[in-house]
Amino acid sequence: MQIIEKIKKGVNTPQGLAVILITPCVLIVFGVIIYPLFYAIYLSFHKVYLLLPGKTKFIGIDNYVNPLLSLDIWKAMGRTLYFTVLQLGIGLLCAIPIALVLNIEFKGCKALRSFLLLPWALAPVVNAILWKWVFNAEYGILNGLLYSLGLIHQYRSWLSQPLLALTLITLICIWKSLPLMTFFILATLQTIPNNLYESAKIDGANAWKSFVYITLPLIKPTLMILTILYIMWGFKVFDEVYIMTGGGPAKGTQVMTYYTYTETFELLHLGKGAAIAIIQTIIIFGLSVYYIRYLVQKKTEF
Amino acid sequence: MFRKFNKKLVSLLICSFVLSLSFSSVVPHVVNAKENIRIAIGVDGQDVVRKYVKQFEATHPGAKIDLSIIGWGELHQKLVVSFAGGKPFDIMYSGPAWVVEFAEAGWLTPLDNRITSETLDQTWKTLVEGLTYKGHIWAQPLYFGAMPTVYNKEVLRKGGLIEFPKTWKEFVEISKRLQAAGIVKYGTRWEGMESGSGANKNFTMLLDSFGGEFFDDKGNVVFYESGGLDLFKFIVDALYKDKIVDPNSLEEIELSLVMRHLAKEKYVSLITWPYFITWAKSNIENFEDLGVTLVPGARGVRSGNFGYGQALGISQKCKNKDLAWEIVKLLTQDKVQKERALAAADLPATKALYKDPDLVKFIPWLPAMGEQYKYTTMVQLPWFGEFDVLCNDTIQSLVCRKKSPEEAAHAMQESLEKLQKEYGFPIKEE
Repeated sequence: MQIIEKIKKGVNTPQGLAVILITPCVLIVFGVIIYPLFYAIYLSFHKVYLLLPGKTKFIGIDNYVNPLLSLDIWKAMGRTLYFTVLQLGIGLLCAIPIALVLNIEFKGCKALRSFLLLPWALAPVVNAILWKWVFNAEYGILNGLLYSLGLIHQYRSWLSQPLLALTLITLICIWKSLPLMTFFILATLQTIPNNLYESAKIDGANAWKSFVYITLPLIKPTLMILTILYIMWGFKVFDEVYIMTGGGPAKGTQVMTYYTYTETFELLHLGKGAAIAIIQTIIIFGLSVYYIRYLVQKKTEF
Repeated sequence: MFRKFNKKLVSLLICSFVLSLSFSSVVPHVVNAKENIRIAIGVDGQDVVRKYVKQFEATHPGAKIDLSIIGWGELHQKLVVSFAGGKPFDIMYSGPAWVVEFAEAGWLTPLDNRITSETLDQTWKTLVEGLTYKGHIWAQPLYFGAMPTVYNKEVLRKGGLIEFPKTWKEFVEISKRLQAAGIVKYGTRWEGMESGSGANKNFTMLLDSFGGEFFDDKGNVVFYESGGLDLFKFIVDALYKDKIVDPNSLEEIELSLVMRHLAKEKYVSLITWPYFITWAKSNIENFEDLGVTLVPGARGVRSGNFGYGQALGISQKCKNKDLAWEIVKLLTQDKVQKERALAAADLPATKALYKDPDLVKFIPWLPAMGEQYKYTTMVQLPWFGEFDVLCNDTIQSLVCRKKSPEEAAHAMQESLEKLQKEYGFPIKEE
């Protein structure tokens, strides 16, 4: 009875009400995120093969050591890094000039900005299917265009060579993510006061020098944020690989997430899949910590 | 006011919680007098199955059948997860590729005491062997198939040829001749070489046509010397040296488009699924120009193929196995197999149906299929998933030239030995 009285008393306070209101949300977060995370950690220390239910056993860190000793995970990591570096490099090289152009006020610039957002609005699966059709060996428009221009003499299969397939997947991801990069940079460009450029012009600086000595240092924090974000997101690429190549040909597009997917959902090695997923989580977590620390550092002074 | 609001809110939350529980499986449902049988099958022939399920429910008022039609991409995973989760379906597809896995895991009920010897005698031998594991038969046959050669008769006629070649060597020579004469662009297209395609089927088919096998009767891995190396050399030469195979084979394209290419004389022949030949009959204008025959052979072997099929198994956890068996018998009887075949689904498991006049009229190449079945094999492994992934990776490494035929054949041999050691199957005879 005393407990019931205490609960009644507690419920009638603002704090008590807050607890009641957030309880459903906490339960959902616990059920969907926290519990599966800890269960995955538990699984990662066991040999769990769904098709051999009686042979589940504790194996310590074998699920971590064995993959790290095999070439497969390092090759998957290498492909992921290739994807990430290419996406970031080409993405930034394209996003900066586009942002600079969009920063100029001209007739139709607002409409152009809206139009440029379209690729980013596409769902990743739709993006992948769309480009799979474009690259199709039989009826893809890329083949049609190149054939019409006389650049190829017969239709070719673009996704059947490992490195080419990975590069094409990277390019389509760049196409999709370019608007986001561009608008990040554009937002920063719009905070740069015009008087800086005017002063530089008076001092005899040309456009290039203004870019190198004014624009670039001031967008550097944004570029750093984009770098960290895209490295983190690079580790998450999956949809395009799944739809376009299924990890092939010859594992040529098997990035980290796809390697984890294969182990867990195709081979049903839950323990090994969980361990690989946790290795990936640790890498992304490390990057996240660095990202958050960077955000709280001092900004570049004008 | 604050107190009143809180009381109402707490009451609302409690009511929501209780209501959600009452709709969940936590609280037992109101007593259902009907016996529930849950069935999981693939999408093929689903209309026929639905019809007979309704019929069964009408004649058995005490039974309620919960039919789940699941896409091929998800079916195996769904079945495994439901078994592993402790709430399996009562009746499910348990074809040869899965029967060994499910039986090894202790999920299936042996049906030795239920399947009659007449049924087994009347079923294609390869399928019966595929459904037999450790001396027991685990599922009732439903359908069976192999991948025959479909060829363009008109192309052969233009090349002055009467019949389709019987060996791969002849096929290469004829293809080169027809290509040189400008009659076709390529001899054929390698199916199942693209990612995620289940390459194990085409791989096994080609290996069998070379007289090769993965394991011998004593459980030894014999891939390399039994024909694996010769097969890999042939696959690569056909693509890059003789150039009789379409280089775009390495990319997945719609089978309907491929069949149209065959009809339009882009290829001499294809090796394809029987249901696609049925599709072609209704969708390709000059279908009469196409013929069906055996896959060519090599190394003294007339032909080879991968036998596939499906059967219905009963879960060990099924509460009413007798009722489940009645349903299995109904859904696998000859009448249903015939209706499924006429609905352009898969071909029957019963041998006698291959002489049925209605079926032969609808599927004129049925006798050719019966002939091909004499040259079929199946792979039975409890680690079929790993085997499939291994076949995919090996074939793709080969055709993308990441590995030479020797390297790929050695790698395949070693990987099979490693997996055999890890899983202890096939058991090696000392």
